[in-house]
Order: sequence, then structure tokens, then C-alpha cells
Amino acid sequence: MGTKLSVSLEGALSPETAPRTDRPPTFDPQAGFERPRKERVMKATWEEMEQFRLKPGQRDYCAHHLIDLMKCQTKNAPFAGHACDDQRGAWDKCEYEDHLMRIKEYERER
Amino acid sequence: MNLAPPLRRVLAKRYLHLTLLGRNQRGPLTFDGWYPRDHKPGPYPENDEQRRAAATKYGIRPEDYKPMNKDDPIKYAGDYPDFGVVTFDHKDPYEDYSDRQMRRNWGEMVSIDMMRYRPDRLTFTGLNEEDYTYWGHFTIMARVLVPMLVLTYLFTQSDPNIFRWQNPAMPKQYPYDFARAFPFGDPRDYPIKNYSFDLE
Repeated sequence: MGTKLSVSLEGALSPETAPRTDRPPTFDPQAGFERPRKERVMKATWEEMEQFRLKPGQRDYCAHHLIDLMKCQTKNAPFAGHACDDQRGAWDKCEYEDHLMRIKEYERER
Repeated sequence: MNLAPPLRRVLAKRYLHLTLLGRNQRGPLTFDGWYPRDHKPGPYPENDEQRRAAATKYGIRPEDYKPMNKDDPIKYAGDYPDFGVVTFDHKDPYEDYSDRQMRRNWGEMVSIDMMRYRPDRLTFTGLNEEDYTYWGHFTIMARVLVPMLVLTYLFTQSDPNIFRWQNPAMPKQYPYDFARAFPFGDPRDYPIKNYSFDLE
């Protein structure tokens, strides 16, 4: 998505209509879609997150992958190395898709 | 009239007849006490005997010996020989010299302008005044200053929201409102409904 500098300049030139990135979207989440959107479901339970002492920033919709990664690390400790690459990859992929969703939300807002 | 050299030069330009007063006012012999003991050139040779003696002193054949012109105010140097301009480039590059860097053998006569025509100098002819055009001057300054000013303008913009190079994205979506629960509340009391982009 080639929207880096051009979007920021657009936003600078017309500050009234540019989307604010520090707040949640202002439009109705279901607006513009023919069918209703699915809800995001939290797959890791609060007790598990408490048990692994995840930081509040880590308790997002990808926490279940992170918990799998931590379990693998404790199992192979102290030489986790490349043994947990699968889980790490899954977590990274989930985070990446989350970031893409954020970008898409922005585009919607625009 | 022992004046400082620049003043002397000015005077000599305007009033050439001053060189005829007494000693010659220009040239290497005008500085008193400047030469090591044996290095000062002798007086101008008057007759043939003196010429031969001088030629032997300098290591030149008598028929080649030609002292500096007596009336030339700048170059007059007593009996130092004048054999034109002989530079490093005039000499054979393939000859086996004692001093290869200067292309000179030991004991070879050096011209009086040796320091001017040394091999490690870039140019003998100096910097030509006609090469300094106004446009060239302006170009050299502009190609440094214009980018400098442009970048200064760009970097001193105080608004932080222009020139962002990141992909613009909305804030991260969390299942619970942690900020609202801070510091002592339980985030589970403040759940947030977020939607994905998959449609049912």
C-alpha cells in the first residue's frame, strides 16, 4: 500500500477531514458491508493470561499464539533456539494480520 | 633604502629609476644576511676569467654559462646562471637519476626557479583569472546552499503530522479496555466489541 508520505501530506493539508489515528473509528463498524462482519473472538482465557503474566499490551487477539510460544519455550528451556520457530511464526503472522486490519480500518475511515 | 619588500615592489613599479640608485633593489641579492656562508652568488662576472671561474663553480660548461641579465630587476642574482625554464617534465623519465622524485642527479645544477617548478606542484601557470566567471561562482555556491536551505525548511516544520513515513493505521484493537480499568479496576469489567473483516 503506497500510502505513506502522500497520506500524511494529505492529512496535513486538510486537517479537518483527515482521520485521527489516536482515536477509534468514528463510523459505524457495520457501515458499508453487504453482510454483517464477524466479531473478533478472544481465544485465550483470562486465567491463562494471568498465569503467564502477559503485559496488558500483549493481551490482544493474538495472545493464544503467544501462550503457545511461551509453553514451548519453557518446555525446551534453556535451549529454545529454533525449536519454537513455528509458534513464533504463527504469532508474528497473527500480529501482522492485525496490523493490516488496522490499516484497513484507516482506509475505511478515510 | 632598505624598505620592506612589498613597499619596495610598489615603488619599483612606479619609479623604475630607483633601481639605478646604488645597489639593485630587487632580486635575491637585496636581502642582507639571508644566505648561508657559501651559498651567496658572487658578483656579476665582468671578464672572461671570472666567467670561467663562475662556470666551474656551478658545474656548467663555460660556453653554456650565461648569467642573469644585469638590468632585470627581479631576477638579477649576481653570477647565478640562467638557462631558461627546465622543469621535471622536460627531463627523460626513463633515465636513472640519483633523485628519482625530482629527476635530478646529485650535483646537477638547479635553476633559480626550482621551487616554482617542482614535480609535486599541481600547476606552474597559476590560476587563470578568466576561469573565474560569475556564473561559475554562483553555481558552486548554489549547489551547496540550495539543498541546505530546502532541507532546513523541511526539517524545521513544527507540525509532527506531516512527513510521516509509516503506513497509516488505526489504533490497535484490544478485547478489554485497559486504560479505563487503570489503576485498580478489572479490565474484564470493560469488554470491547471488535469486528474483523471476514463477513458472515
